[in-house]
Amino acid sequence: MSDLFNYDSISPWIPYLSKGLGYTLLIALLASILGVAIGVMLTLMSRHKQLSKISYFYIDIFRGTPILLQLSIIYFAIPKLVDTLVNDMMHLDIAITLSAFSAAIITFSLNSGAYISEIIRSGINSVSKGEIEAAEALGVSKYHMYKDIILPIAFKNSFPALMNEFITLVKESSIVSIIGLQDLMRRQQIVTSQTYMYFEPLIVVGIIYYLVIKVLTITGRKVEKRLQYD
Amino acid sequence: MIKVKNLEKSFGDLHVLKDINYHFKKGKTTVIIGSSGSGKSTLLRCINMLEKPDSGDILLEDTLINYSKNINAIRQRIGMVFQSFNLFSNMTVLNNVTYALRVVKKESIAKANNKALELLEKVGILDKKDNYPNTLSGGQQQRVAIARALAMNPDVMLFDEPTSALDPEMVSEVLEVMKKLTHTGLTNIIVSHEMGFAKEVADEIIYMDEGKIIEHNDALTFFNQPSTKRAQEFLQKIL
Ligand SMILES: Nc1ncnc2c1ncn2[C@@H]1O[C@H](COP(=O)(O)OP(=O)(O)OP(=O)(O)O)[C@@H](O)[C@H]1O
Ligand SMILES: [Mg+2]
Repeated sequence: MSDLFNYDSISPWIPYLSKGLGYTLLIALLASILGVAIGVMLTLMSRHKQLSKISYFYIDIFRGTPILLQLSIIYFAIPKLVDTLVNDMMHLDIAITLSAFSAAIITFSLNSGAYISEIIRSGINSVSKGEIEAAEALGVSKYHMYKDIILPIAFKNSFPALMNEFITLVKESSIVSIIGLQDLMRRQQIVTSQTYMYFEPLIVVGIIYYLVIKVLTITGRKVEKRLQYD
Repeated sequence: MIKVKNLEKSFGDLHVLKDINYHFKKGKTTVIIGSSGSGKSTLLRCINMLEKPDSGDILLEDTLINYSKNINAIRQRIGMVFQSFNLFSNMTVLNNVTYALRVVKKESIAKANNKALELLEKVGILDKKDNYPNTLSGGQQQRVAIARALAMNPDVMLFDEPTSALDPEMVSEVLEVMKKLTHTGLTNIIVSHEMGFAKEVADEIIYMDEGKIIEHNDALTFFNQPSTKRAQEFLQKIL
């Protein structure tokens, strides 16, 4: 057993590894908050004749390419591009930098915004036409209809999908390790390079991910039950 | 109370209402009958602008009903009860009834609650006031829907086949409530396939077919000796 999994060698590293969870959760949390804001904006835009094209294009691009590519473009390519534009072409000397953390937040927010807008849209479509007509027939204004009927019901109906998106963010945020952010995955790589242990740090990090996602799933189900109207 | 003049409505190529003219009289109960697809629901839905007419005028007393800024003011005076109840699923029974009082009529919660409780008592469902709609039977939901519409103190009530989606044993509890609304000064316009009920409560009957009013008559005459052949045939088929 101790040959397969050397607990004594890995145990001093566990606190170091666990700290990576901070980044993982922070990225998922900030990205989902900003993602909801972007998602709402995209949904509103999609109801507008001209703006809907932009919204459709945005969603199409972000859903149609891998997030690893999006992150690389935002972290590596765009600062270089801006640098060329500003310093070479305009003969200036301004330092153009984007921290790994900012790049991660921007990428994940933009990306989850695209998914969340689809979730919000189908949530709104799930509200029965009859309920909306009943409100109209009572003389309820559009504003109140959205605030008191459509959005609350849409939120309840899309909660499972939103929770799912959050869990996806927790898992996918692991790719920020490629730009050097010290999340769970990155710390595993660091421990491996210092100790030459592969299996143990991977298992520890795997257990942390698994437990966090389990807790999120169970909490999500509880909230989902609370949201039911009965 | 409601005058319909030269009303026309099409859905694409489908001509659903063809030159409808009728005067729904104040305080009277009019039952609209006719086969499926004859345009009964569309006529009802044009009255409160859930469907936008192509041409023609509809007047509520002397006010032209059209799809403009004042539509919500007009809709407050016209209650509607749907075949599929359409209660707000995210609100309790009590809140379903008080909702429009609070946000449309801007009444205080206390005042709205009082009115709602009185109406829930009237439709016999006071004990379910804190339930959510999906825990109620169809008949119970429809009675709440009637209370919700009545809460606004409308001049006119529109009913679109209010018992068609109900299990047979629940039809009568809803019809009983509706009966109480006749001869109260309220103008009722009811689309229904319940002929017994129509005979009992209707002052006037409108028979529609293929988007036209084929016959309108007082209920007694209509059921005893309809003046058009098509109404005779229709009655023979269903009675
Ligand atoms: N929103 C719509 N779009 C397209 N066609 C419609 C729409 N609403 C109704 N129709 C069509 O218009 C015709 C009349 O419909 P309407 O609902 O008024 O009939 P009805 O007399 O109420 O019938 P039923 O007894 O089945 O309720 C039908 O052929 C129906 O399919
Ligand atoms: Mg109908």
